[in-house]
Amino acid sequence: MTDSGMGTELGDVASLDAATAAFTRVRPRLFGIAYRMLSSVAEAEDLVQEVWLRWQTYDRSTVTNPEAFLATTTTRLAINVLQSARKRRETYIGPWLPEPVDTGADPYLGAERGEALEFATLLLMEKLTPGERAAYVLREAFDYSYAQIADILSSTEAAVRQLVSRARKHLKGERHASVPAAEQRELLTTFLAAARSGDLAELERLFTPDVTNLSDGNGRKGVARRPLVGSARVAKFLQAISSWFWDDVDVRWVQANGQTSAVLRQNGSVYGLLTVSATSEGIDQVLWLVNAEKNKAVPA
Amino acid sequence: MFDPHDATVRRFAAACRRRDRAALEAVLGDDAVATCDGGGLVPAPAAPVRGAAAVARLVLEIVSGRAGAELTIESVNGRAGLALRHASRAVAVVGAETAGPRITTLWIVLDPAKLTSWHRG
Repeated sequence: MTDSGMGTELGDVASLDAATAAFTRVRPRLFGIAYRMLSSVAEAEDLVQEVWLRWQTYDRSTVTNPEAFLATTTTRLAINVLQSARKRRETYIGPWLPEPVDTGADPYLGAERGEALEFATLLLMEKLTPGERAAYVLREAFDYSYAQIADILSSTEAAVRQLVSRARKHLKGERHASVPAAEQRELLTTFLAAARSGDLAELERLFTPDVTNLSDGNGRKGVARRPLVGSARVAKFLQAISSWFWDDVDVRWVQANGQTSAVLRQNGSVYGLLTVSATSEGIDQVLWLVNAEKNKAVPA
Repeated sequence: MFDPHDATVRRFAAACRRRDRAALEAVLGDDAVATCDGGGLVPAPAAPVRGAAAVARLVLEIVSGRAGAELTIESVNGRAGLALRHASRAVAVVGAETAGPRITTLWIVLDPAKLTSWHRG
């Protein structure tokens, strides 16, 4: 394992005192890695605690570089925890955001190593594979060399370069600006025709690969509570409801929140509002506002 | 060092404290987006709220719905953001993204499980 670049002289960490000192010294960095991997203070603290327990009971006489060892253990555990955390988040009610971290109280996290910490970046990193995310975090936030990251991930330098480059591309590519209002209206019209007819191929063509279908129904009967993600899933959902949903529905257009929305009316009363947001890549969000309370202001 | 992000967040915080709708709308960009995370435990819009007027309305609801709450500027994930506390207990932490003098994005964390490290006292 190569040196992690912090240049310590830890000497013999076989004794518990020396082991504690070595751990305490790198603890802020370990937390920084874990938090950026998991977007959760609580989960990151649990993970660092787990690393501490393992470190205490490990045969430390076999470890030549405690820092590299601890960073490696943290990263690998974080990859595992992230996989199960993502499964849990699939059933989260409403939008999911990272757990905010007080960088005023933790100078190391904020001032020295501010990279890959902002909400926007953390949210975008949720779309990376755990491996891509780990490589990106270690490279961008902690300045590890590709060779060091390869050691940590048990990979090759070339593969790590690939991971980091894919992650960068993904994060940069996510920041597409919204399309102009006229184009959004055009896309909404095309989308609505495809949704009504249940045209699977046309719907998938209109969507970005990670399109999200969100419903704000506040528990209303028949309204999906969870966001649907992915062009195939969203298109299939729309195709499935197309056979019955649109039968008695007529559509009028309104301007709401600065973009065109479709007012859906069923048997003369307002059912809800449907709109899409889009970037140059296509429709990235389908929004259903079918919360009866919130639509009182919509003219019938 | 002058940081335009900090200045914009300060203007936003001042408008929040005064509950000044016009000032809030002025500091929010036309395409401002606010996403709320209530974790299913706290009432929150289930979809992102878009547009200066709608976001201002949402912010006023969250801030002015709590008499006696204190709004402070804090370092949230490395950037200036806001914390709203009631009797030293955090009830909301807000991350912000800005473009020059305007707020473009607000992330409003209301989920109590995500606010425990923000309580004071």
